[in-house]
Amino acid sequence: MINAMEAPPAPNNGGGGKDRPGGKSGPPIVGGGGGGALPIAVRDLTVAYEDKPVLWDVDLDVPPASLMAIIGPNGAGKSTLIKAILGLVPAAAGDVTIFGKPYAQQRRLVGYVPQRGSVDWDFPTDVLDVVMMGLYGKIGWLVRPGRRERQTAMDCLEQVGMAAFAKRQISQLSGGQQQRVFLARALAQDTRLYLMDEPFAGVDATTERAIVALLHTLRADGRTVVVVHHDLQTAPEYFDHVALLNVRLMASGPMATTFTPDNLQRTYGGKIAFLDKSPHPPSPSPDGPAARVGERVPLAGSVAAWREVGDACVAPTAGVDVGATHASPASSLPSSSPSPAAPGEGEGG
Amino acid sequence: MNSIQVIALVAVLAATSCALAGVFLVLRRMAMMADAISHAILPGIVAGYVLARGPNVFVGFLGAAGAGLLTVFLVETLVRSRRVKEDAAIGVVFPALFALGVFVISKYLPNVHIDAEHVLMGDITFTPFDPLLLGGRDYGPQALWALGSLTLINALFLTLFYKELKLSTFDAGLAAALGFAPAALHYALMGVVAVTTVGALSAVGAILVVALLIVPPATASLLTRRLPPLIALSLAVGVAGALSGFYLATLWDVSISGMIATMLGVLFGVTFLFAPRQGLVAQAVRRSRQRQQFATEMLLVHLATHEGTDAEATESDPAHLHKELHWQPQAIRDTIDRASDEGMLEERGGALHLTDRGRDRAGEVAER
Repeated sequence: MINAMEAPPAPNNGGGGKDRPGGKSGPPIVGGGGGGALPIAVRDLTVAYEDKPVLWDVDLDVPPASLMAIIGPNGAGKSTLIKAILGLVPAAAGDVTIFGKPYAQQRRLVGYVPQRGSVDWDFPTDVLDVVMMGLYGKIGWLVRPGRRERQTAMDCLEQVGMAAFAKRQISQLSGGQQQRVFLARALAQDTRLYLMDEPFAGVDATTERAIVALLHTLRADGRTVVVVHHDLQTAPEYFDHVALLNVRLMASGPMATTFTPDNLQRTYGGKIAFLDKSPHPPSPSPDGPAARVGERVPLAGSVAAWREVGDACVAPTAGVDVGATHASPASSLPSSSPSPAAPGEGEGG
Repeated sequence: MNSIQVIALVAVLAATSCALAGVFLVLRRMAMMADAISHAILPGIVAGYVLARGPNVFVGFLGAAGAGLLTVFLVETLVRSRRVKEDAAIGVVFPALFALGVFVISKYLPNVHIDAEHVLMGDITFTPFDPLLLGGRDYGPQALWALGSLTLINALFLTLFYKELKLSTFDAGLAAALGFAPAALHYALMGVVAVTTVGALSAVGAILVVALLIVPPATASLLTRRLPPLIALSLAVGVAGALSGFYLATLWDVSISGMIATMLGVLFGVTFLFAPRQGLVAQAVRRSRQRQQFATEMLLVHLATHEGTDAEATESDPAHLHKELHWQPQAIRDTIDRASDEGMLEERGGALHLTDRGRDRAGEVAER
């Protein structure tokens, strides 16, 4: 599982400009504007709904040209963190800077991919029109997009393999296609920093690979991408940095040193099942896989795959041994996962 | 202009102003808000009456528009509290405001006559005789001025903020992140709806206002899934309902507002049934065609499966299909006829034989 991605990324100046959507002459992506300031610096951020804290005193630094996953259980405040960074939910306390300045002054530097389910896909419009929405920030109030914007949007659709769908009604798209359209829209924003809320949720395997490739292209271009991610199994493979969140920030930093069983255990409390991802197929004996699933942290630093267990099948009280609540581990895992007997297969297409 | 023409023009302008204001209301799934605003403006009118110490068009107008926005604000506040859902919030707010208006009238303004039928149905018949008087000069019917300006204002609002309205309706999160102030835009839109409702209410009444706001966009969205044609069709449906309703009302001597609202309902119903793609009839035809096509494909695949095997003779006997595929004899006959019309199979010596074309087709079907 150790691969090049886990090495600290070197900001890539040489590749600047290649694959930039639209090919416009904007400010340089790397090293411009904010000087040496971090893409995102969060200080003491607290967000509360009424009197219930959703985020509690979060400090987070996102280094330049990193691919960071935000990971944590349901209700950990992952989406809220992204929305608070973008000023979409008010902060009760704390401070967020984007390349050294408040977000309101840096809107043009930040691209946002909301959750796919947060918008109305029955809205009467087509794919190209949605992608052009990514350009509205540059166009500004009252002005209408023109031919140049259409061309830029087409180029971005091309990059996600959706050019043939430009005139398609958005209500006729599959989940994976919807997500690609959202990514094309983000590319149209052409920003130094991207915040994406669960771009992998409910997409097919092909789209998932396409998104990963796109994320890596963005990073190679010197851009920074922060992604709310749900799948513990793929996180170390896709990302080079991680922030582990459960209302409080449990840990953040490079994947290799942060994504440890210890930190995961602290983040998920009793809500995690560990699956041993053995390089050899497990023995077919029925007690083989069953015995392994549900063990509490059976491994320290060894090659392992993790899966978050859905809330529905988790005992509400913390500290309960997960194994005890899972008489039938295979059936209680998320539906997308294969049986524990074949752990390496991932999401089938 | 004679009074017939004035009334027709008032109806058309009410239709255009409302259709323009209603498009984004319907797209935002806030159609019920029109109903709420149209009722909740009563306390605003009353407040205007009290403030101006008598009936005053402008103060009453401002009071009513303010009450409309207050309705929106109260509903949103309740929804944001997460303790009341939007439909219930609307149902809580507008009867309370309406009742407040009724209470104030009956308690403190016993001499003010407010007629229920007037509020519901309006008095479009009298609009030609209610002139706009400024400095003693008669500038023509007041309703024409009011609804004409509203149509212009709404058209301007939609044209100027088309891109912003579209983005904030489709994806409020991105709109906010890009700095397009979707909340402000939302209140601006609600303000437009409130002002339009107030302006149209005195001419055409509460029921017709709601009908004119909601029915044209709802009908148009059965006909198109693109925004510019949707706006154009909303206008067309509104005007068609206004003119046909007005014509039939004079023909049969019935309430003009009532007839326009009825015609809008008829237009919607007809569209719902006969819309080219999304209509019930078109859907039924499409489903039936798909069923027929699938039956043909099933037959072809069945024949292809057994082609060249020992069982071919029995399997390709039409009589056998009844037992095998559990189809009714008539359905088998129809499917065979259709397939041979399309050159997919031939019937020779009481057995069915695939043509090359039919074999290719069966292969394609089995592929997918």
